[in-house]
Amino acid sequence: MMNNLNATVLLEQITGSLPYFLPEIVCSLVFIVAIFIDLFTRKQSRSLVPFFVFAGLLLALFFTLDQFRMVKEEIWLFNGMIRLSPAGIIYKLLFLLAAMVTHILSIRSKAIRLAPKGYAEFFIMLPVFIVGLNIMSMSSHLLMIFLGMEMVSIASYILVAYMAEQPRSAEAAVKYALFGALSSAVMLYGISLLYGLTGTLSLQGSTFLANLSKAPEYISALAILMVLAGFLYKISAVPFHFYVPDVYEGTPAPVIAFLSTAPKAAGFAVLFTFIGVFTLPMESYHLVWPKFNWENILVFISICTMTLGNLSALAQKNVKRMMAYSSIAHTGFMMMPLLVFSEMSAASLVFYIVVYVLMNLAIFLLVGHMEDAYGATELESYKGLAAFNPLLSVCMVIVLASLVGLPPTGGFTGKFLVFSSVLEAYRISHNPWLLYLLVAAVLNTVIALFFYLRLPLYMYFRKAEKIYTSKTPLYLLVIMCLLVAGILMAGVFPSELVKWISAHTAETAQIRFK
Amino acid sequence: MIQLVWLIPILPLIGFLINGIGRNRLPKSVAGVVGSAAILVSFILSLCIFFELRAGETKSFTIELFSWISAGNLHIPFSFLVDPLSVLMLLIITGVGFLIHVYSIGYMHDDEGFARYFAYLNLFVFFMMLLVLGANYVIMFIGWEGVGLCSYLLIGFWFKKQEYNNAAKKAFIMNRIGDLGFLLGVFLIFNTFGSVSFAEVLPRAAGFVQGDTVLTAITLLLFIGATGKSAQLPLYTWLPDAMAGPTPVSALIHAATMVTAGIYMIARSSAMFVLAPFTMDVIAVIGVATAIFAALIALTQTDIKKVLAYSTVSQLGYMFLGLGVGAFTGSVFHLMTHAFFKALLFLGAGSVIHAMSGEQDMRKMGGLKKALPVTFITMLLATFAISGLPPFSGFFSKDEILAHAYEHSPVLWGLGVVGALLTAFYMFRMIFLTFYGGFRGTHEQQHHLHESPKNMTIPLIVLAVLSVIGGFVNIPHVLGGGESLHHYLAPVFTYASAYIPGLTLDHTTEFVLMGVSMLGVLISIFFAYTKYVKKSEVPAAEGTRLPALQAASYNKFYVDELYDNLFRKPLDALSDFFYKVIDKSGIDGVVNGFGKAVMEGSKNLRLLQTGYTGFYIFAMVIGIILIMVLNFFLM
Repeated sequence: MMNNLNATVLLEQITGSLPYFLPEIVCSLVFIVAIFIDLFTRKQSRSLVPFFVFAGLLLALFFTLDQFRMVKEEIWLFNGMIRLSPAGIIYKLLFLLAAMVTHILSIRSKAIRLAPKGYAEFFIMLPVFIVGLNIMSMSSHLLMIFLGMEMVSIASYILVAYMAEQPRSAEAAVKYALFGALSSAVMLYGISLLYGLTGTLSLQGSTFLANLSKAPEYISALAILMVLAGFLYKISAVPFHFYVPDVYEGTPAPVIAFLSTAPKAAGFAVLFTFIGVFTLPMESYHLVWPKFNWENILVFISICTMTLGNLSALAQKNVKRMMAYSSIAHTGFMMMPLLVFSEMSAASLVFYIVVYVLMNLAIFLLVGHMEDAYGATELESYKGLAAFNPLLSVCMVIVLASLVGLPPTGGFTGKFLVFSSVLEAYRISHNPWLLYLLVAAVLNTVIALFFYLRLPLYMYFRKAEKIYTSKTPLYLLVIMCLLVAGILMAGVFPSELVKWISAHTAETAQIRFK
Repeated sequence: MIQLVWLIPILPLIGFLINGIGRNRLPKSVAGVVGSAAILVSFILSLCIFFELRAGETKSFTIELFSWISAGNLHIPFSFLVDPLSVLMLLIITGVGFLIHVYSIGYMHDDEGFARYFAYLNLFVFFMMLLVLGANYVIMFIGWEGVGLCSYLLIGFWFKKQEYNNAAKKAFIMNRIGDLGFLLGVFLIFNTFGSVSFAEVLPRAAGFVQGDTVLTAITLLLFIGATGKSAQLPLYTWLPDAMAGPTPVSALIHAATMVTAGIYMIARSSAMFVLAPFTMDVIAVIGVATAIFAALIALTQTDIKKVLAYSTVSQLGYMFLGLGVGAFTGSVFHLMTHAFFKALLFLGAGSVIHAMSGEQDMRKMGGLKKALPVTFITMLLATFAISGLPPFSGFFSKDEILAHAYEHSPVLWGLGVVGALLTAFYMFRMIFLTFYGGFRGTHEQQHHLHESPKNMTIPLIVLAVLSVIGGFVNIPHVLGGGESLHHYLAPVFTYASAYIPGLTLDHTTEFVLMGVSMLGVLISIFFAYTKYVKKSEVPAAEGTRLPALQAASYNKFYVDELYDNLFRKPLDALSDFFYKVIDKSGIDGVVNGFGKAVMEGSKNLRLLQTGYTGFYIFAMVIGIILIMVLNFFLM
């Protein structure tokens, strides 16, 4: 009798949750149907599958946008396994944006078109990504987090290995899978330790922290650290960054446009959720927990990440490798708002991520186009491009200025917000490490200039050795201009965007103090 | 009218967009007119605002355009501050800027990138206006970065020559080192006062005690920013190299406006600086040291633009000396007169170079005064002004700084006078070498000599008039003047004036000081005259052995080489290290073997044994352990 009742409640829970899970359901269905299309309509599938997938993504976009209307405050779905918050919807929107831009860039990409596997399968992976990423950004249950992360990881391995016939690509894929597997294993071990110590996997409520506080110091710290390693791998922080340059170099630009943005954003969403658990309710804003020195460790990793990323980028001659180190350095900057929990830090993290996604999509659009049209992979091969392709070059300069953090671009506003949130943390805790972090961060923005500006230097100030004949397709230019417009808007009129983000993230930040 | 101040920066921005977008389609005449007209209208608007501000009771308006960044308790509006100082700066920027735009129409006439040049120039003016109009440090920083970017673009404008690119890079890098200081200063301000707007920070700062550590730190950081942008020791080396750009650019950016940004910023923040006596002393010492050091280098330079470049560095040193001894009005005054005569000197030099078909070496000039009468007379007037001869503008502004310096410390005054003597010498050396004696260039050049067209000479004449009469706006009491500029700027320096007493020198002392420096200047002009006109000496040709001191000065005291060894080489070595050891270890050599291994399709397990992957995983594990150790033992 009791069992029956429980089952009914459970079932009701599930059916009640389904309307809030529409984007994910749509993506799953698209995935399955697309596979069938690919299997049974071999001939026509070439053009049909990408079209179908894109339509599916559009539908998912519609449902995601609709969630802004449906969800005004956090709600718990599927018995507390999934937490849908307004902030999470922003992340979901970003994933879709990245996926759709990637989709458009991939359609014409030579590397993907000519893949011996046929190119339909490539597009089929995109909805899988969306499901995994969405789960990552919505879960506050360690099991769901792990599930989401594995889903994203496996999809990533497939995309990176898509061109495995080429040595570079094969190397990248193997390295990626090896490191991914290792970090997943470590994380899973950490999760099981945490389960053993606390008896729960849910991060919701106070049980988890209360039980963990009773556990032995070393073991709990070790468990936390192991879980953290998994997250740091996803956001490619030092010392879990080794795979990044090789993977970037060996993978087609559109794929990297996606892999460098969406999974990283999701990684930060998860990290934000996980770290948030450890803010003690008494001391609002303050990231203290006696058994693990969060603040100092995050500061340490953040400084190492941005410094190592920037210094290594200085010496790169290959554009993709340079951008790989650039994305590592940006991880360092994005870790800064994790140090304090306030409305501002939550908003500035999301703002930075939004701008970062726009910037990286724009960069890899150009890189991909140059690769396809001229086989250009080195910085040298961009010589004198400006004279032949002024619009693309101007856009590029703006994007790079934004990556450096020069005003009046979104990159500047993002950095400014992020730095300000560290200052805010410092004013509360007076931890000198936070000041070191700030100084290191400002110093790093200065270093960053040196390598980012090499690209415009080649494009504008070096004489072209060849004639850039190939015309840039109109749709690429349109996307580029839209991305750049977004970056500029985020720099010149950021207040509306910040306001909108704050309105959605405020609750996520406040929930910690309850 | 004041509410419409946003129109002033918008106009150059529109000019930039028109010229930028239509750069391949617009005919040259249109591009030049659009660029100049944008600045002219801004100038007229600035004039209107100037008169309205003078007539009105309220002297300071904050005009909020829109809320810019707003997150948590951080609110930064995009707002402009209209007060006597910012309006004065606007007048200088748009006034001198307009003349330089007009001049450029003639000077750049044959250049293929004509419209692009005007686009960049307008963009520069736009950012410069943001810099001086911004009502908080962040807007100021946007302008600050923006002008740096335009400077980079404009120096690199003639990008066909490699040397120019390097100059552009150097300028940007040096500036960035300064920016680092500025940015940290702004964050410290935000941390201390919880705001970055002038209207809130400065009154609150006035409540601090003199000598406060935090204020000292803030002001020192801001000053580092100023040394970068305003080319002071030790970050001055970029400015002379920046002369690689077109000459009107040197006139506008590297003499009249952008380089004075540091002066403006310190004058704007005077309320904080007066409370940090230590910083003030540092500023005064660096200022006077730069003034003399740069003047010494200028003594032996043979490139006409290099002489002017080092002269600019030296004059900026004077302005910093003025700031350091609390003569804020004096510094701003000198900034203004310097903008007139230095812009004129550069434009004149441009006219000479134009006539000489691109020759910049003074050893190949000589006797040009007949061929270029307007250029000669206007440049001579400017030289009088910069040398500080009465009643030319430079006399009044330099004298005010020196008088304050004397009150602060006679030693500073003495050094300042030495600098003035050197200035007079190298400036007249330049005039004599260029315009007197016989022609030393090639026959072809001589044949080609001509006065520049009207649109180049008229700006010269206007600037010459300003250089002559510009000093009358602030005639000191001792000469029976009313110190109008001082009264005009008084509302800006209210907080500062509480700590900086006015001049208490009696009139006799002031007259003696003026007399001494004037006499010195006349003597050094006489020396220059005997050396270069009477004896018609010409600096030794390239490659001749010079006496040690001269050689040191000619080679700019080897500072570039020093920096090269001190900074660039270690940095190169570091990035090389990262490339070779940390990065390279991952790819080369491994890749091919790796690829084959996969292609063979069977020995995947071997991958685990190839050293590097193993090393990476090892490093990850070590990393985890390291963090663990840090957590428990080090923090």
